Amino acid sequence: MRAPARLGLRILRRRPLRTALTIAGIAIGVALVFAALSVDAAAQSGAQGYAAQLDGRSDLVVRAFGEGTLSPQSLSTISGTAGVLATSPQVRRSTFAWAVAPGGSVATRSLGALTVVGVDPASDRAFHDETLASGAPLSATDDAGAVLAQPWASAHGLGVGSRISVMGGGGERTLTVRGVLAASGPALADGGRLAYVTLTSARSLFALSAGTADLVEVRVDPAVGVAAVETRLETRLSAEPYLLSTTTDDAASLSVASRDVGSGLLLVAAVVLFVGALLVSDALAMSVAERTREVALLRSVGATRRQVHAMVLVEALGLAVGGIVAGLAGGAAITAALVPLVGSITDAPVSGTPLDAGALAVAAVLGLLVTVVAALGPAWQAGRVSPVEALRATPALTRSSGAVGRSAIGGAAASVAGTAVLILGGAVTGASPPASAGTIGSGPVGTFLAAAAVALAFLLLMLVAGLVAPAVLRGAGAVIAAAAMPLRRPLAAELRLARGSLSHDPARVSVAFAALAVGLGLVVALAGIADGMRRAGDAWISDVAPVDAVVVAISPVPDSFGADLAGVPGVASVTSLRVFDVAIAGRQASAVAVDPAAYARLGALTFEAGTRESAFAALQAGGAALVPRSVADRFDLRVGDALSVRTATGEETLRVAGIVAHGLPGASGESVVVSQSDASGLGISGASMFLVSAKPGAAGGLAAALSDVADRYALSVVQPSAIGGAVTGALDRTFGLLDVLALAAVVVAVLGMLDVLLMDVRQRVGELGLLRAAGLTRAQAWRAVVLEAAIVGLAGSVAGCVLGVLGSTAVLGFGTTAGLRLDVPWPAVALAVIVGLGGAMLVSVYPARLAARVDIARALRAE
Amino acid sequence: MRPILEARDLTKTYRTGEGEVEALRGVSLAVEPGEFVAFMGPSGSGKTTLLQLLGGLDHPTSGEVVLDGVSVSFLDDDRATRLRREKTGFVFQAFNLVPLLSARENVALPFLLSGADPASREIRSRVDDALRLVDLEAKAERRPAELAFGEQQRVAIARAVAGRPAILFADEPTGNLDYSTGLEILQYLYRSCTERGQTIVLVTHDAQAGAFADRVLFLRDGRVLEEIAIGRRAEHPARPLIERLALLGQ
Ligand SMILES: Nc1ncnc2c1ncn2[C@@H]1O[C@H](COP(=O)(O)OP(=O)(O)OP(=O)(O)O)[C@@H](O)[C@H]1O
Ligand SMILES: [Mg+2]
Repeated sequence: MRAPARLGLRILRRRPLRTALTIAGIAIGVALVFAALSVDAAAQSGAQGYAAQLDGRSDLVVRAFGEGTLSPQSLSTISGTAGVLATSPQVRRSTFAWAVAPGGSVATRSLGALTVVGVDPASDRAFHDETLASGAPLSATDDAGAVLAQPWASAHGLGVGSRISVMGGGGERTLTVRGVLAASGPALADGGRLAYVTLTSARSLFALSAGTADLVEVRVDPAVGVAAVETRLETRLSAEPYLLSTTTDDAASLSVASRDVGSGLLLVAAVVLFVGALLVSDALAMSVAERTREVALLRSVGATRRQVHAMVLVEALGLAVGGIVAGLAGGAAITAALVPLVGSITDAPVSGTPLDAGALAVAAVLGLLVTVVAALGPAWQAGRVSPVEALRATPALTRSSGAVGRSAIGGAAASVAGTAVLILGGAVTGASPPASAGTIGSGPVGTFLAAAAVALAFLLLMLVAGLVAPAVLRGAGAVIAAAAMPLRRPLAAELRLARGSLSHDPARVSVAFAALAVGLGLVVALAGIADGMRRAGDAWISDVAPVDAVVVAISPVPDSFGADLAGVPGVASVTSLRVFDVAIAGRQASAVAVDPAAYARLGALTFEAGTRESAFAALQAGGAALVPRSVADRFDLRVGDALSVRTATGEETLRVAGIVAHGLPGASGESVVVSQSDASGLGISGASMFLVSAKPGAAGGLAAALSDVADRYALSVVQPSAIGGAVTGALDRTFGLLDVLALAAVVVAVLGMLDVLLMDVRQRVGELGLLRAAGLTRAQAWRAVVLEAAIVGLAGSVAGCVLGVLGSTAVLGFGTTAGLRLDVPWPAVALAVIVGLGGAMLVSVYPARLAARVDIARALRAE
Repeated sequence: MRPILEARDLTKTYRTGEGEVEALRGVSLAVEPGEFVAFMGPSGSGKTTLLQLLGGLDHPTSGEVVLDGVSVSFLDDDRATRLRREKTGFVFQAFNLVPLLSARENVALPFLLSGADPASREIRSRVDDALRLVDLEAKAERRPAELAFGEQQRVAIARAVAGRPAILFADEPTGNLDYSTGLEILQYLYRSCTERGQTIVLVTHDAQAGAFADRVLFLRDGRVLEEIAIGRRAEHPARPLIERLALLGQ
């Protein structure tokens, strides 16, 4: 057993460049898997740590529903509930702030949005540890003081003694900064845009009645348990609607965002590793084919089949160990680079680079398993070499066409095994296994199916790629020949040789071709999916807000502000909207109050059921609602059904007058549309948003013109697309990140291409010597190899683009009812062609040099 | 008449891991146009090395080769390549053909490499001519793998003569063939010499092959030990040559 092991290792040393390439392929895959799992673990623990810091020692939070408050009666009910150890009521509202010049009394400089938190300092300290960076803590009776959080305060040049002016429903108030909190604990919330004031001060700022609060933090007697207290509160609290949440709920909702990123990372990493596996399988198969004679010789002098198997497996093991070591080191570096990026995508800040032991183990086992499984096929192939091959004059250097299928099956088998490890590893480390692109993995079964689908799709892809490779390569060859038409005469020999070499032995390059196609396909598909999602968002917004600008208020303002906006030159019309929270069948949902006539005039909404005219007429008449498709599905509503909605201040039963494709985005999904008069019956008035259309030709300067008036009322002017939420930004960053990783798959594929070309040149040294003897110049030899690479690169790019566009169309079509639409993400396609074609040609330079430098005399002797 | 090929005091020393190998130790010779010359000698005597230097495939350590009036030994690679393409043809012991090209394309290879249009009438007729010389017009479209070994060698001869080179170099072209097939190949080489006036330099250690030549140069240890004149005859009996070689201890 030791002799074959030594031989296997010697083979690796004999071909240092090829060994390095294959190791690099494995290493990139292992590195990405390791990094994906580590980043995921970091994001999860970051989310948990963040939630824990925000929540402090509270176990439960009771919040008032919508814009309502918790009454003094509710507050005392909560603190009087058995099992409740302590409570801390808070007023917590968003508003705007200005800086007040020293000595003056006038607000001078806008500080933007600010969350004012009213607390009872003593009870708050029982829940949260506050670290003061400077100044003094808030005293219980200091109704003119405020404590700020450091990052925001220093960003705006505020310190102890500075004065700020804040706006609320109760008018404007000037507060003096008493202290500045270090950036930890609750001061991390809202990006630190926080001002702590006393409860009394906050209540008067927002015109709330004495003794009320927006939320109460609750600490529970561990002997009683959170669940028991929750149940008790649910039966005892009846004065007004409320929402209950536990610390674990908060952490869970925070980690959802990072979990999606983690899933995406892992999915891409897995594909990269699978592409790597394919190349390992191919490299080993080629290495075996190349050594047919040597293996036959070993067999004829008495090596057993088992010893031959062992030789190949040891070769694979050497590659795996090298790949794993390099991959883990690379993965650690990638993790360090990715962690801040992921922190910027998700809500929770992620810090440190915790190199998760579980992630390390999973990545290492995965690398080993995938490599060894990929080596099984070539090992078997080597074992089948018969001793008589040693005696044959021409050993079978070229591989049969079945070899492509075998490589594909080997790669796919490795993928399936790898996926199994990923799922197991996911279970062990608690990280999320890959979900199918663009969707959130739902439950272990869904996740397993998604992973299995990925592996299966990969298998199919590789088989199909192997089948179509000859035809696609021929096509690409013809395209390149046509492109070289003006130069055709001088390039004829090179073209003939390149195309001949490809069609003579397509197996040699079809795996590199397939790997390139899969990698580039991934890049294009991700770009297509991101585009599609962005487009869907844009279409949605232009459906619900077909206007030129939107003016939003952080908290509701009087409708009359709209008249001032309408007076701005260039404004054609202003429509006020009020988005608010409602409860439908006991569950939280969103609604929007509109002036039916004005909203209808904008041409907003697409009706899926009910006609436009009758629906808006019903809305105008009152007692009716328009329900977005998603809400209709959620509550199983049809036109004509009764819909009972509840707010903190009222309850009504409305009739569904129409089902619309989309509604305005609200806090809890898309909003049900009601008329302003029905809204006032629910106790809702005012406007939270104004839709502004411009007069013809005035759209350009509209935002600037509006901002004067908007500033006066602390409103902000945004593009209509911005009301889609900050989602798009995060989407861009997420997909950007995934795209970078998909490019890693391309890099692995291009490395594989280099490997194939090197082997190709080595195998054909004799032929090159012959051609050179017959008059092939060095430049011609060089060009023939580069052209061969260009043909494979072009074929891979084109196939990858087709694959990517089909893939993204399928994924997008799956998620919408609108049917399939073929959209080509041109920039990504251009990138894919440049990277595929350029990358292949770039790496071909070295093998081309080798081909040009072949020593004729020696090459002729070698035969 | 001016010799078409001339070598002056050629030496070639190979550097290896263990030291230096003096493969040629001063060889001078001249080949007249239309002449058929054979190099013979024991294995390792330097026959292949000499042929490679004469054909411009390798550089001598010292000395000079003049081919058709051009000194080839110290040309840069591109010029040497062009010279080979235009003035020489090669036939080796095996693997003479590019496997991915058909027999016809292999014959047309030097034209393809020079950038000429292989589909032009002039070149087609030259290729057909060459194929006819070796009686292979019928199998012109086959790939090398679909040809018998002897047929492959005939294609190689056709390619070597198609460009009407000044000189044809053949290194043991019959080494891998059975006796009668080998004889056939020699007949074709001889025919190109008689019918087309092709100058040929043949390396062989087979006396039967050497007997086809006008003149045999016998090499040993990197030197020309003996020159045996045979002259052109209709018959090529091996016996007289074998007897001469026996005198040399061969
Ligand atoms: N590339 C090389 N490096 C080192 N030594 C070489 C090289 N090529 C040839 N030799 C040596 O040069 C000498 C002459 O070799 P050459 O191939 O010319 O002999 P030959 O007469 O053709 O032999 P054979 O009849 O076996 O073909 C031999 O000793 C050989 O070992
Ligand atoms: Mg020789």
